Amino acid sequence: MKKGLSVLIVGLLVVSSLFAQGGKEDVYPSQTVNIIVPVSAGGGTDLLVRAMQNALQENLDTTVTVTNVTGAGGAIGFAQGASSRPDGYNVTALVAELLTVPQVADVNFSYESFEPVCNVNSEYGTITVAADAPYDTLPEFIEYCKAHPGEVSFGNSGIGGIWHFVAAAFAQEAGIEITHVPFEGGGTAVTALAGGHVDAVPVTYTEVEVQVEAGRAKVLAVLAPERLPNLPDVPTAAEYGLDNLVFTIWRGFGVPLETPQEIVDRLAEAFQAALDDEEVTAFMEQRGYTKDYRDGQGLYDLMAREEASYAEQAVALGLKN
Amino acid sequence: MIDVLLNVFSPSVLVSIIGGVLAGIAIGAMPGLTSTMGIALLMPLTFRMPPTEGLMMLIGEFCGAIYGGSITAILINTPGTPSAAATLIGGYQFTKRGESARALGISTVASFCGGIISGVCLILIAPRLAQIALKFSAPEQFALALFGISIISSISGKNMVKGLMAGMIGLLLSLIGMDNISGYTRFAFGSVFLMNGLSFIPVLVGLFAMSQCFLSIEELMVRNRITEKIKRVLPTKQDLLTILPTVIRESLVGTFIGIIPGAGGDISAFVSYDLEKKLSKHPEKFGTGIPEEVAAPESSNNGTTGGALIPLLTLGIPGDANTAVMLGALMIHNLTPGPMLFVEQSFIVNSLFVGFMLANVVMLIAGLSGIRAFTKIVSIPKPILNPIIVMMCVIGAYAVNGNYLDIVVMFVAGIVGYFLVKGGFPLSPIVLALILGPMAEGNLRRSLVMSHGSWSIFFTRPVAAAFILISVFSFFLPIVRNLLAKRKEAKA
Repeated sequence: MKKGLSVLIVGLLVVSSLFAQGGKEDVYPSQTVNIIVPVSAGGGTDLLVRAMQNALQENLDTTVTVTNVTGAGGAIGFAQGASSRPDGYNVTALVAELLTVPQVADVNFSYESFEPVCNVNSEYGTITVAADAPYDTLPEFIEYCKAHPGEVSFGNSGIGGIWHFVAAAFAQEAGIEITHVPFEGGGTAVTALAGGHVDAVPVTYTEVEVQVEAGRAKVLAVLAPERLPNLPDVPTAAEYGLDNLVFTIWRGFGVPLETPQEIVDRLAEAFQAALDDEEVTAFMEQRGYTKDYRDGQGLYDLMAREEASYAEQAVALGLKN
Repeated sequence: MIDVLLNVFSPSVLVSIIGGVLAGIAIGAMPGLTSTMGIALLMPLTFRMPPTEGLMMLIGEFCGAIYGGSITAILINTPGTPSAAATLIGGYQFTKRGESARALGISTVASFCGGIISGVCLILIAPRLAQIALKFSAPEQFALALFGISIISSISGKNMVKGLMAGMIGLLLSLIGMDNISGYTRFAFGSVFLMNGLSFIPVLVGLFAMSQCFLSIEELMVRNRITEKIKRVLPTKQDLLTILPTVIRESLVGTFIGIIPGAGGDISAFVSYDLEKKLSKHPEKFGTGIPEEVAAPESSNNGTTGGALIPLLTLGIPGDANTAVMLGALMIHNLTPGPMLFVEQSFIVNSLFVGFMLANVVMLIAGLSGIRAFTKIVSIPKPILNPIIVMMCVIGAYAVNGNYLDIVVMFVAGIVGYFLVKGGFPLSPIVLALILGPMAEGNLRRSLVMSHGSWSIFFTRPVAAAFILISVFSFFLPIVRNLLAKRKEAKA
C-alpha cells in the first residue's frame, strides 16, 4: 500500500539527495535505497522492514524507503524486484512465498532470480486447534483425524500459499486425510478457528497468540526443528516422530543478480547492524519475531533446500503447472 | 475515571488525536487513498509513542478518513474512499444545485452521530455484541454479500435494466485474476499483473473521477460556474429533524455491519442507503439529492468505526481491513486484545473509549469549520480544477500497489465510465458488484468446501438462512409492490 504522498516525498528526496551528495557519487550508497516489500502494509513482513528502516538509514547514512508492491501472492513485487537495476539501490524483501508462488503460477522469476543478501527472521508453523476440541496432544489429534477421514478442516491463507503446503505436508507425514479451506490471509483463517468454523490452522504462533491467550485455541505442536522459546511446553512434531515437517517462514533480503559483490556485502553488514539495533531488538522481542541471521550463502542454501520440498508437495497436491 | 480523563486530555494525547483526525480527513478526501492505507502509513510513527497516543492517532485517522471520503463524493462526484461510494449518488445532486455546503453539513453531522452511536455501543455492550463476529463465517458472509447484491435493483436509478447490466459488468470484472479457492487463473491472458485481478481503487477512481473529468471537458469553455453563497454551515433545524430517524437507524446498522469480520463501511453505506429508500415515504425522490440520501450512508459508514473496534478489542478479531492493521499496532504496544485486556489494561481501554468519542468531536469541529474552504473547490474554474483532479487520480491509482499498470487501468476505466455515463448507465451498481462479487463467490465456494459440497449449510445455519430470506424479500419487495399498485389501478 503505497502512500501517494510518500511517492511524492520519495521523488523529492531522490532529487534532493542527488544534489546534496553529488560529490561522493562513486561511494555506495550515494542515493536513496528503496526496499520493495511484496506484501501489503501492516502485515508481519512489512512491520519488520519498517521497524528496521531507521537503523538501516543510520548505518548506510542515506535515505531508505519502503515501497509495498503487492498482488498475486507477492508475485508482482518479486517480479519487479528481480528485474530492477542491479546497482544496490533496489532491495527486495524476500519471504517464503518466493518459493511457493512459482510452484502454482506461471511467473518469470524463481528464488534464483535474486542475489540473496541475508536472512533476518525465521518463524515456524504450529498445529493449533480449538480449545474445546476433544484432543489435547498431537497423537490424539492424528487418531481423531484417522477416525474421521476428510472431516477435519484446516484453514489456510489461500490455495498454493505457504500454509496450504504446510498443512498438506503435515497430512502426508501423519498419514491422514484432511479438508483444506482457503481464506484470504492467515488472519481470517484464525478468525474462522476462533468461531469454530474450521478445526485447525497451521499458522505461526504469533498469528494465533491472541486466541490462545483468550482461551479459544490451543497449540498441539510446533513445526520447528526445536521447541520455541516462547512456547517451552509445546512439543515439536519431530518429538512425535514426524520429522519431515520443517517449513521455515523465513524473511530475508535480496538484490537483482549481477549486483556487485562489495555492494551486497555492504548491505548485509547494514542489515546485520540493524538487527542488533536496540530499538529493532525490542520491537522483535515484543512482537514475537525470532532473530535468525544467515548470510547470503546461508539464505541460498535454505531456499534451495525448501524449494525442493515445496516442489514435491506441489506435485502431490496436483497444483504444479 | 479522573485519571483516564487527565490522560486523554493531556496535551500529547490531544495532539495525536487532532493530528490523526486531520490526517485522516485529508487521506480520505484524496481519491485513491483509503483509511486502511493511512493507518498503515501512520503505524511506523506510532511505534515509539506511548500506547494511548499511538493508538489514538490511528483511531483518529480511521474516523477522519471514513468521513473525509464524503467531501470528495459530494463536491466532485468521486468517492474519496470506497465507503463514500454510496454518498455521491445523492450528495453530488446537492452540489449541482449549488447546495454543497448543505450536503457537507449533513454529512458531517451524520458522520459524527454514526461515530458517537457506535462508540456508545462499543463502550456499553461490546462483549455481548462481539459474539456476533464469531457467528459469521463463510456461509453467513456469502448470505450478506447476496443481500448486498440484491441492492443493485434499488440503486439503479431510472432505468432498472441498465442498472442490472452495470451490475453484471462489475461482476464480470471481479472475475479477472487468480481465484482464491482453486488457484485457477481467469482472464489474465498470461499477464502477471492481471493474475491478481483488477485492483478495486484504480477502477473506482477511473470510473468516477476520470470519467467526470472527460465529461467536463465538453463544457470546459462554458462559463457556468456554480456560484454558492454560504449562509450557514450547520444544517438547519428542519434538515436535522428530517435526518434524525435515519441517522439513529443507520448508525446502528453500520455498527452491526462493522462487527461482522470482512464487511466494512463500503458495504454498510450501500445497505443503509437501500434500507432508507425502502422505508421512505417518498422513495422516488432518492437520487435527486435529499438529506436522507447523504445522512444514511454517512452515519452508517462512520458507525462501522466503533463497530469494527468491538470484536477487535474484545476478541482480537478485526471487524474490517482497518482494524486488521490496528491489531498489529495493539500487539506492538503489548496490548493483547481479549477479555483480559479490559481487566488488566482497563486504564488504556477506558482512555481509548474516551479518546474515540473525542476523536468524533474533533472530526465534527474540523468538518464544520472546513466546509467554507471545501466548497471553494466547486468554484475553481474547470480548466484549473480538472488537471488537478487528473493528477490526484494518477497518484491515487499508483499508490495502491506501487504499479504503473494500475494507472493504465484507471484511464481505461475512465474512458469506459465516460461512455457508460453517456449511455445512461448508472455507475454505482458496478462498484457495488466489484466489492461484493469476490466476497460472494469466495464465500460461496469456501462454504461448499466446509460442508463437503452440501448446499444445506446455507439453510442449517440460522444467521445464513435469515440473511438469504432477507435478500429474497428485499429483491422481490419492489416487484410485488409494483404489481399490487398496478392491480389497484386496474380496479379503480
